[in-house]
Amino acid sequence: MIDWINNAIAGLSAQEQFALFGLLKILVAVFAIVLPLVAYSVVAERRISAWIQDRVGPNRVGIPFTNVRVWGLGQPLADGVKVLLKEDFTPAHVRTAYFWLAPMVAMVPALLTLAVIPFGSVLGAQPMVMADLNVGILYTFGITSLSVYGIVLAGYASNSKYPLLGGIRASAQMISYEIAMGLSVIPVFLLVGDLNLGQVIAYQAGGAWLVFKQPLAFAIFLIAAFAETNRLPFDMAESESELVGGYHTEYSSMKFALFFLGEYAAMVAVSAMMVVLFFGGWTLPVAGLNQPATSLGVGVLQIAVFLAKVIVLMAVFIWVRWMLPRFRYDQLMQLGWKRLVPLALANIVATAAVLFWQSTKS
Amino acid sequence: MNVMLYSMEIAMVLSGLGILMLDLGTPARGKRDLGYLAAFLMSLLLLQSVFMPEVQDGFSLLSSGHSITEGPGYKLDAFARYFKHLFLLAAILVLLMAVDFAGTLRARLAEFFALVLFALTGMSAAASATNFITLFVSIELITVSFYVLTSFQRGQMRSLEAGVKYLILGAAASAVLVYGIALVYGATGSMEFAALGKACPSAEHDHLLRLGLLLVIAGLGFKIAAFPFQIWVPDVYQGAPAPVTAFLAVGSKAAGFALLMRLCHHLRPDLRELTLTVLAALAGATILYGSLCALRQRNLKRLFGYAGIASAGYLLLGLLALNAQPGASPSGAQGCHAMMFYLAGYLIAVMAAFTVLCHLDGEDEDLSVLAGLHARSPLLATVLTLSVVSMAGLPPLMGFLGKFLLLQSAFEVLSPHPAQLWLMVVALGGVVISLYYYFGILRAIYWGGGISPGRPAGESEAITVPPLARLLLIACGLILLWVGIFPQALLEWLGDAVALFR
Amino acid sequence: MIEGVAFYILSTVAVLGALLAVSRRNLVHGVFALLLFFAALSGLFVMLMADYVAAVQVLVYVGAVGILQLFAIMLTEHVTGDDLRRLGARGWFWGLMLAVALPVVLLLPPLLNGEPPVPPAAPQSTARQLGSQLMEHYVVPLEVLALLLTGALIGAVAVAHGPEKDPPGKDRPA
Repeated sequence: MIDWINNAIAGLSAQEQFALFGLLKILVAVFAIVLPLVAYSVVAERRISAWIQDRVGPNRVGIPFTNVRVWGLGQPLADGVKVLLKEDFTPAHVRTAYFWLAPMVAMVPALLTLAVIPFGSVLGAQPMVMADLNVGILYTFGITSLSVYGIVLAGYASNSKYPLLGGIRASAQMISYEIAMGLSVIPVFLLVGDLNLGQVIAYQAGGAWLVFKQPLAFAIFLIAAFAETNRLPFDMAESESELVGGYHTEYSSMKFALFFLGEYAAMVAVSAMMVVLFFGGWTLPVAGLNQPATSLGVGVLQIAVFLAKVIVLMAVFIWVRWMLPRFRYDQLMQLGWKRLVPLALANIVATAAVLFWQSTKS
Repeated sequence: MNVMLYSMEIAMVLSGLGILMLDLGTPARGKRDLGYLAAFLMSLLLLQSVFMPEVQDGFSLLSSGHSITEGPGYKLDAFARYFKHLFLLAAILVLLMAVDFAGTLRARLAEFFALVLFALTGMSAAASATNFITLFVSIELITVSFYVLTSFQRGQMRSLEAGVKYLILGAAASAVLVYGIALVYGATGSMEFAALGKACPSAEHDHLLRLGLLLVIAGLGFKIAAFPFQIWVPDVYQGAPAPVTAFLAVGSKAAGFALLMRLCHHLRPDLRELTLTVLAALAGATILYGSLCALRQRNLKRLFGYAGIASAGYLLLGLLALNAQPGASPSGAQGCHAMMFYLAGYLIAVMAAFTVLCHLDGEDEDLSVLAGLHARSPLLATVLTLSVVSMAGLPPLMGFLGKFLLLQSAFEVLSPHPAQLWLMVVALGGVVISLYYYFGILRAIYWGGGISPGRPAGESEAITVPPLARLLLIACGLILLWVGIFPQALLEWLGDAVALFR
Repeated sequence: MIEGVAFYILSTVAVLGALLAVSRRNLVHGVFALLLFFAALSGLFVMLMADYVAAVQVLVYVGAVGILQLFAIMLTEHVTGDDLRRLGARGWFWGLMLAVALPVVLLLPPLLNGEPPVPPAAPQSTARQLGSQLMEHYVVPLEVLALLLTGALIGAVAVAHGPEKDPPGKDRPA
């Protein structure tokens, strides 16, 4: 069987191989990894919040049509069926085209971001990254900056006051924190000397993880990531206590679910970025896992390491959400512009100064 | 890279930022003093640069062992220095004018002063630009500062309107300019002005280069308010606060001309023919348009605006000489000489006139506010007379010699050219027409009683001018007279600055 | 072949986006058309092998400029104009003539010669090279630009806030 596959692959031209494996990687990564991760992060959110609030949480749904309960792990299926079967109601006063467009725009950027994330070293001869761009980090920031359009579009399309306010808030908030986020990673690239994400991982494999070298950069990035994904304590765009539901007030059924999933997909994307930038990506400084895999088994193990790191960071996201109250809007802006941006700038200058000092010393 | 090379610009920026910082701790009453501070700092810079230019050289000698006058895209030669001095002088006068004008301005003063300094930085960088990147960014810095300064009088609809008009037309001009730069870059593969002197790899490239050059001239034509690009002038001049209008009329225009002069200096002989024709056409049309439109103006600022368009036309005549073939009898230096002398005279005259305007009490700057000025304030009337007569180009004032030199240089350059005759007719006709509208101002000052029915001449109370402004006005008037009668000193000083163009 | 097709698709999208952006009365539609144009432009940069510029185009123009415009528009009243009424621009004919004349003049010599001009080899510009150029050769223009942005920011705030003491309504009548 394996021989047959090898022979078949060898018969293809380099271009065809690239197309085949590219497609395969996209299909596997999206449908086998990201979407289940998104679905189960919803369950995790509910279970962890229940645990924090001393409740039980959804623990009943098991394998469908049987009585087997596996700690409520069937929940995403039930949720999905429920959301699909709800009436897809389009209010009369909305701007229909934009109203339909918005949920898609909310979901897509998060998935696109993952294209440049190296989620493993190699499997066989295939590098485990869908597109190895030289300007990988710029690409991720560019695409991340698009995710705000989903929210703004939803706010505009809904044509009523709460969504519009949510959209306006979201645009101001995400633009502000994008600046802090972008500035916070510049020291990382000063150290690495390359914009390619694979190089960032290689740099960390050779020494300490960047979270230890640049703790301030990581802290700023993490805070900005909460704002970029519209998670508590920065969910000003939704803030159900003042804006009903913010941008998704008028949405129902699967369109609402797309916003919901988009938020979690963005969480996955941001966590993956943090893992690559600050936590060494697929490397682990034990048992030779720092080097690109030589066998299939190690390759799979490295992917597992990467996923484990992502899951830990997502747990942090969920944990923070249920521990901290929501910021006020002006506090949010104060924090972004008057604290994080100057701090990030100071960090850049300090890092550059240290590097300059080191280069003159040697 | 030598930081001292850019010391003047750095000093300007630091002063501007320093004023913004000081603003935080200054009570509302003391904000005017920030203007005095800015003017004082700029005067120090001017004095240092005029009398002790070796300070900068000394530092570069210390740090690198030899005197550095050139960086990438930047040159600090006598030509650049002369323009920097002009800009500094203009900025100082504008700042002092703005302090007196603060009551009418009703806006945030510290920001106003800082933006004037930022615009000054842009002009100063433009004077030194030797590649298209520096050209573009300095032009943009000037323009963006002026977008804001123009609309600074926020309470006034007219000021906002002026700001918006300037913004939209300025953006379009910038687009044309940057498109031209892109074409030139595509043709020559270099951003340096010097590349304009070399042959292109192919005829198609040459075609692109010519087109790009035309677009660049059009973009800069907007800055200097040459004929088809002058639409913004009257409305912006009228709507902007008086000090801003003065700065716009002098600084922005001189910066555009400084850039054009450097640009033309590097042109290839065959390109010079092209620009000579284009500039001659522009000059003629500009003089004609400005003069004719100024005839029926009754608003002083609009009048000065159209008069400014006409003087841009005269300055373009000087630029023609720069486009003479190398080795021709009147060298480029002569035209350059004339332009720089004219600009100096124009600066003093415009600044004096606008300082006077600031002290008039009329809201709408109609000619009738001048009625009876000779009785209400002999000083203001005298200085305004001097500056207007100088702008009209009558001897013995400074403006006469400037205009004369410009006409002379253009006449000599064009002597084999068929367009010579009509261009001279237009230029001389413009001078004659200008006498009419400039003397309209004089008539309003001395015999203007009957113009406004509501206010009989001489009946209003006297205008009091603060001592510092009085000093400045007297100084401006004296300079106009003194240099007009004894121009030798300034002309010799200029000899150094135009050495580049010999 | 594929590149040719991609070029024509991207160019068509860019031109259409630009046309829509200037012709829509509804400002929100206009901004989205503009975004389309920016995105297509970024695609054209990719085709020119300028991946850094393309990424910056997405990051700055599509990501930031567009959203700021939307933000500003949404804060105004009457966001939506009716798209049916054409923008009444006088002199559109001459503008159109100028717009047509420019490419004609640009392309005239190659058309007359019958052979397209040879495109120069694309420079291999990496982010590193761009950065060192900006920080060494073009550092003065870079600083001037920084000053420009500072000035624009300060100016925008100063004009938007108006005078310090008087409330905006108490300004003298214009």
